[in-house]
Amino acid sequence: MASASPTRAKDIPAKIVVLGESAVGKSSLALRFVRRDFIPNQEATIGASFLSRSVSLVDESPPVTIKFEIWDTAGQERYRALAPMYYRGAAGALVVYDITSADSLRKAESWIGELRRNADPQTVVVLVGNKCDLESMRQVSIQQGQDLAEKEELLFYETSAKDGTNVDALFTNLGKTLLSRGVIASGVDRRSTMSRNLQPPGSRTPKSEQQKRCDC
Amino acid sequence: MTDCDYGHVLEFEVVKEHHRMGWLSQTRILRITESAVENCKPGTEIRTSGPSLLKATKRLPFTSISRVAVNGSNKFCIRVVNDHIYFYTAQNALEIAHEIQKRVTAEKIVADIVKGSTEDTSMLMKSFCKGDLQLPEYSGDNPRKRGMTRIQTSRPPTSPSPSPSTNVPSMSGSELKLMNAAKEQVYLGTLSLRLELFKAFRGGYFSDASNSAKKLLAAYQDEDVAFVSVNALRSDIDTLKESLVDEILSSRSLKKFDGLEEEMKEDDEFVSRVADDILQEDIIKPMNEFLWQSLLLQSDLVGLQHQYDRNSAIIAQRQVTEFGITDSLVSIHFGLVTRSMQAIGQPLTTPTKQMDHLVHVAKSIVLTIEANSKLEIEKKRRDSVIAKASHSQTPPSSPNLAPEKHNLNATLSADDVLPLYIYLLSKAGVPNVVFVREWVSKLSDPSECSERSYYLTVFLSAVEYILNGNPDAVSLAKSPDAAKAPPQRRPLDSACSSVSIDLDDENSNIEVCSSSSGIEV
Repeated sequence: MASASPTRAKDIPAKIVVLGESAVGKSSLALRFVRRDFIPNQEATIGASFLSRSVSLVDESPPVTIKFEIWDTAGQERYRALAPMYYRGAAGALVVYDITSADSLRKAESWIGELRRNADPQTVVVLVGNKCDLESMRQVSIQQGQDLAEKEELLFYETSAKDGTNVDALFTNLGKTLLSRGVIASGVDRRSTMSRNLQPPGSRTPKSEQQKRCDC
Repeated sequence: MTDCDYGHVLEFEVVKEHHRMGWLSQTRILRITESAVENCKPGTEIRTSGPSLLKATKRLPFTSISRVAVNGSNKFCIRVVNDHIYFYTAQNALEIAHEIQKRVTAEKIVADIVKGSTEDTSMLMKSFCKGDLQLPEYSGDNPRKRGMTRIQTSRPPTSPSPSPSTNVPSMSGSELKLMNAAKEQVYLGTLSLRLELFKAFRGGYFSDASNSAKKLLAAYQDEDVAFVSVNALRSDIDTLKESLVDEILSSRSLKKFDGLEEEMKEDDEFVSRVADDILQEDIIKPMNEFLWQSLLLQSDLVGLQHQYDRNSAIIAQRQVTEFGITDSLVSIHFGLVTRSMQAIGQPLTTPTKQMDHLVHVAKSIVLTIEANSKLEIEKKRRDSVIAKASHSQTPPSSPNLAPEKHNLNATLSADDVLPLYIYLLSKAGVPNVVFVREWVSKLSDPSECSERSYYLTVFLSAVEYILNGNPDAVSLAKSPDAAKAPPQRRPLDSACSSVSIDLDDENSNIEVCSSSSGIEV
C-alpha cells in the first residue's frame, strides 16, 4: 500500500503479460517503459520481472490513469508450458520478437496461436518487433511484421528498448485500445469488468484438477 | 513446530543470571535458530520425528530483540522489547553475541525490505549496495571454528571497560527518514483507514457481514474435517465480501477521514482488498488448523506431494548449468533465499500473509544478487587500490574508483528468475509444498492482480514445473558440457563469498573472506 499516491483512487489497473523467446528484450522493453523518468544510474530495484507504471491519458474524456502491471515470463522453451498461468486474466499481451532474428518471429507466431486458443478472447494482443536500433542486422522486415499483425488483427509496433523508440507510444495506444474495447473501464463499471476478467473460483485451477485425475 | 527443524541451529553452553531473583545462576543451553534465541534446560530432550531436541523454556524471537551488548569478554546481554534484559555468562560471549547480532540484523533487513514499497526497497538496496547495511551471512560452517580468534586479536577486551554495546541497526533510522514525507502520510492514511475498517468490523458496525461471517464460521466448524471444500469456502467468502464491500462503501461512519482518505474510501479496489483481509482474518485464520488437516487427508494431494518430493529430489541433484541460469548468477550465496523458502512449508495464518511471504522470497533472491554484485565491485576496487599502492608510493587520489556501472537490471528478468527459483526451490527441500499450494491458491483473493499475485504465480509455476516438468527427460537432454563436468558438489550454503561483520567496529566493514569457485560447477 505504501506505493499509493494521492491519485491512486482513479488508477485503473491493467495486467499486461509479456511473451516471447528469451533474449528478445522482453524485460528491457518493460524496463524502458517503467524507468523512463528515472535517473540513469538507478540500479537498485527488486528485479525486473514484475514492473508497474501509471500513465495518464489526458486526451480521453474524462482523463483516466491506467496502472500498467507488467508481468514478465520466462522465454525458454522448457518453461513454455507454464505460460498459461501468467497470461490468465491479462488485459493485454505483448508478443515480442527480435528484428535481427527470423527465428524469433516464428516463435512469436506460435505464441499468437497459443493465445488465440487458450487466452481470454478479450485480451488485446500487440505484436512487437524489438531492437529496431540494430537496422544493419535486420532479418525481419517491417512488412513481415505488419503482414502478420494484419492477418491476426493485432496492434503492431517496432520498438527499441535501447533508445526508447515507440515504447511509450506502444503502451499509450494499448491503454486506449483497452479502454475503447471495454477490456478495462473506469469508475463504477470497474468492478463488473474485473469480475468479468476472472474465472469463477471453481475453475481457477483447472490444471491441477487434471493432474489430480491423472494421479489416481 | 519449532524452527529447529531447519537451517543452521547453533547451541551454546551458557549460564543465565536472573537479575530479579538475586542473580540466580542457571546453567542453560542457548539455542540460536533462524528466527529466535531460545533458552533450553539441559536434560529435557524431547523426541521429534527428526533429531532429539531440548525443550525451550523461553523463546526470544529476533524481531523482539532491540539490543545485544557485551561486557568484558565473558558476559553478554539481550534486551527484549516489552520484556526484561537477559544476562548471560559464557566463555565465548563475544562469539555468541556476534552470532545473535548478525541474525537479528538479517531478520530486520528482510522485515524492512518486505515492508517497503518498491521505492523504499530500492533505497534500502542502494544503501545495502553501498555497504551501509550489513550483509546477513548464513554460511553453514561451524562458528566454533571461526570468528572468535579474529575478533579477540583485533580488539582485545580491556576488561573493566564500559560495555561496548551496539545498537541493532534498524533501517527505520536514517534510511526511512529520507522517505518522501507525503508518501509516508499516504501510507499512514491507508494504514489507519485499514485499521479503522478492521475495528469497525470487529465492533459489529457492519452487522450484516459480521453476522454472516460468524454463521459461516460456525457452519464450517460443524462439518466433518474430511468433507471440507476449500473451493466452496472461497466462493462463500467471495459472496460475503461482496456484501461487506457494499456495506463499507455505503457506510457514513468513515466520513471522519477527510481529504485523502475520502478518496481511498471511494477506491473500491482498496476497500475490496481490506474486506478480503478482514474475512481472511475472521474466517480462515480461526479455521486454519482445521483446513490444513482436511488438506492433509486428501489422498490425491498426498499422492501429488509424493510426486513432488520425488521430482524435487531428482532436480536438486542436477548441475546448476542445466537450468539455463546465467553464469554470473551461478556462484552466488543463496543461503538467505533457501532459508526464506523453507518457511513456505509452514502455512501462515492467512493466504494474504503467505503471499506476502512469497514476495519476500522473491525479494531475497534479488537482494542476494545485489549483495553479491556489491561484493564483487568492492573486491575489484580493493584490488585496484592495492595494485596502485604497490606501484607507486602516492596514495590513491580518488576514493571514488568504485561505483562502476554494473547492469543488473538486464540479468534479473523472468528468463533468469524463474530458472533460479526452480533450482533454489528444489534445493531448499521445502516440505508440504503441494498442500501449501492448494491452500494459498484456492483461498487467496482471486481478484488480486498486483505484485503479490505475480510472485504467487512464480511460485505456482515453479511447483508445477517440478511436478510435471518431466525431470528425467530434461536431464537426458542435458548439454554435452554439463555431462562431461564431474559431479563435484558442495552444499549450497557454503557459498563462494563469505562475509564477516565486526561486532566491535562502529563502521562495520564488510569483509570478503574468500571468493572462489561456484556452488556446483
